[in-house]
Amino acid sequence: METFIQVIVNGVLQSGIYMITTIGLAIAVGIVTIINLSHGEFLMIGAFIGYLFYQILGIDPLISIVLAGMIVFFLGVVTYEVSMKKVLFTPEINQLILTFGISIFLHNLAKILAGAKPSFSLHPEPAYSKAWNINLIGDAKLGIGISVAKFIIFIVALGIVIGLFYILKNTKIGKSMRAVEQNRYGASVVGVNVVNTFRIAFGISVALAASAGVMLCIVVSIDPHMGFGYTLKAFAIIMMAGLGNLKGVLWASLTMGIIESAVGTYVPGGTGWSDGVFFLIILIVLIVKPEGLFKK
Amino acid sequence: MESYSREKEIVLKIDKISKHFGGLKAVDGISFDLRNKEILAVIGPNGAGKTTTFNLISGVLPLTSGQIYFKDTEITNIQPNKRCKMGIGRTFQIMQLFDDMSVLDNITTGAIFGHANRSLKEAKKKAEEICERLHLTEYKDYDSSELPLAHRKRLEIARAYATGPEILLLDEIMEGLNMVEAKEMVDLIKSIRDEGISVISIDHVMHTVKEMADWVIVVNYGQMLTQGTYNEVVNSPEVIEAYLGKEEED
Amino acid sequence: MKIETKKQTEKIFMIGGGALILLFPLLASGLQGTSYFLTIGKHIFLYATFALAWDMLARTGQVSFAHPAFFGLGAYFSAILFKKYAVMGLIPSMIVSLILCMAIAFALGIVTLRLKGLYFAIATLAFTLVMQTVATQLDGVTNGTAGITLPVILGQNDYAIYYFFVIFMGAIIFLSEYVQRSKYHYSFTAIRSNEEVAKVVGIDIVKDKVLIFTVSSGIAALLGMFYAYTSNFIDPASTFNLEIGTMGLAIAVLGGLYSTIGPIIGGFILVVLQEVLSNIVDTGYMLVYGLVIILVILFLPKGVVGLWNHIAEKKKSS
Repeated sequence: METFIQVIVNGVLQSGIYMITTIGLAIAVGIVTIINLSHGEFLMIGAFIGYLFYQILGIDPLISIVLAGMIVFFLGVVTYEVSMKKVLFTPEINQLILTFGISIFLHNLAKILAGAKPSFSLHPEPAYSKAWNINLIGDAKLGIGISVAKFIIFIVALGIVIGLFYILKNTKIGKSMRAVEQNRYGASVVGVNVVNTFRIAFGISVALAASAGVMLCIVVSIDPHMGFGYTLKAFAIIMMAGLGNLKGVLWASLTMGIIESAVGTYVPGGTGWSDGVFFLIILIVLIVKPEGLFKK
Repeated sequence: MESYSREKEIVLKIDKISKHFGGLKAVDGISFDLRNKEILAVIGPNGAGKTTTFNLISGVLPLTSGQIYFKDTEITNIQPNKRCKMGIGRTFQIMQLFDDMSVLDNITTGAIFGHANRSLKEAKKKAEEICERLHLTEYKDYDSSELPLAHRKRLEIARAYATGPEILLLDEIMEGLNMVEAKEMVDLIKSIRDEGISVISIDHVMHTVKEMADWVIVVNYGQMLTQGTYNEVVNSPEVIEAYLGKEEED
Repeated sequence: MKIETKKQTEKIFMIGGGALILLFPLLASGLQGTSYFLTIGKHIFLYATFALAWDMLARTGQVSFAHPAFFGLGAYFSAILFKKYAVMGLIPSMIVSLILCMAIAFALGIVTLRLKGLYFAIATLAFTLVMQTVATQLDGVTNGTAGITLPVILGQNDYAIYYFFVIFMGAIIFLSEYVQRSKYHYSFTAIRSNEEVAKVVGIDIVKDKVLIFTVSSGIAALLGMFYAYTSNFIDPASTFNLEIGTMGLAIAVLGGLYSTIGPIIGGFILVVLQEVLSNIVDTGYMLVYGLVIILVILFLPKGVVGLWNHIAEKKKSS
């Protein structure tokens, strides 16, 4: 029983990072209509910003979540201006290939800059990198462990999600983004600056990935190749949620986080299978219910 | 027109067909039939269910209920590509030409796949003939997206005609044409009918309906209001009510 | 006029390129490091054929990422039957492997039929990742990451291997050209343009989509086998390799989509470029490779063939 609870807890905590990464990608796909295969590379950049700020400047990664978000926002705007903008109305395949090229470019650039060292983790670990042991029913043997860092990250992630939904609902730029998503021509008629909305939406999209990256650098070791896996998973979660369903992304992230954690625990040779199971579920969802599992 | 008799054989029988999208009854129990060598015009306000009816006849959408018979065969559950091969051709309201193809290739595509066993060589020859007949030869190597509107409309017809239809469904083929172009189009459609092809035409332009339609049916809110010859229909009280104010525009 | 130019372009490339490919080993035989050049040749033909098979499917609008899965499955089915359990000879194992792969492709093609664009791309991508995991994890059958060591066919003769890949590429070029000149050219283009309308003009889109998906995936499986038996060793990372799939896609785009000649030219350029770069810059040549892809899409979206046609037309009209 306690393992079961542990599995759920781990899954839920993991899902926070999926949520903000995927909502970021969902904004690019749904609002800017860019199929961005380089999304995960911005997560990787965020992770390295968090790492470097901590190692060199001694800035706590929790603060870097905001800093990396801002830096990568501008990086995203620049990327949008010099490249994405030009493939907005071209066939999907052009977008896939362009952003794939950007992905190769960015992660190889990171690889060169990183040099020979294969992976990086924070040293010394921040003070909150420890675990709470919570005893169930007052019995020490039936305890579960909760990583404090993962817990904080999950809360921060939820905070970001709530903030984002607030922005989408109540601010001018948020309203423009939703208007553009509904109907870009209609939006421009009623006075929305579509071009500017795209630019900012893309910036927000990759900034979210970057803040997820900073969170990751606290809890796992990072490397230049970490991005693409997250791109794939984020796409998979979007498909599961149903295209254009932001709230569905939250549920789908939660589901996938828990399933991944369960497979890692219960299946023999577990962690090796977890990616496979993850994508098998996505494949089945796409075949059986391509409009997504969750209600809008 | 008044003396038009509908005693020719029935080529298409629509029997209480419905299409519901959730709570919306886009088509709600429409019945009518199409006679051999007849031009039947379907009129009615926007959103009346005209294009949905075409989608049901051509098989693009499955029916919620009802039956469709092509001559003596029930085709209600037959795939659209098979319906095309049986002899039902159609055009689209929002023109759906194959953009990556030349004008001639668009027609050739219809000429190949509308028939059960036609070789590519025969189809190409047929396509050239149709191109000539519909005055598109001059443009045959153009990309279809480069054509002016009236020519695009004609290409839509050409592609559907190339499938060798016995029934041709035309969706808003007159829309956006000027007087001269509309006159040419009317002549073309009449000549197609005179070849022995039965035509159903969704049309908003009343003077072209008047000029070419042998029989008119009026739909609104997914149901048929009335049917008859042009003069009968425009004088019927139901239609005057549904179209009040609309008449003046046209 | 446009079509004329295009045909001429293809003719020039076909004849000139064909002669060069056939004579290259003779010309290179005097040079030092012949075997190195022949190996690059093999890579060019392997990737170009892969990209061509992928392009044949893309002509129906299906952007597939399942090709690396079939590349890997082809290699593994045959290797397991022939080497690991030694239940049959080499050729029978390849035939059985091809049949199995095409059966799987047929089934996958049917279940993914109604998915379009991004959905289809992600579904096929997921399929590849699942297969990759299975190949890695089922180590009792596949040896897992330890891989399987295989004999090299054709007496390990670099010349023979070179010509073997040339012949196979030739066969697929022939197949592709047959498709381009047949009814399928019209149905594929129509399906890519608009599936609904394609149905209404009488095209059996289910049949055509599944057919080309099966054939195209089957070619990927064969290439996987040929790769396996000319490389001495396979493991899940080198065969179920998403990079092969994405490279195939990049090659087709660089050369020019929906043509026979495009993927062949693209394969030649990208493989040579990668080889040259890896010799000049020690690390990070992949950086330049990424940059090339970006620049092609931004400035040359119709690929090299598109550029060539453009230049040829300008010359003609001036």
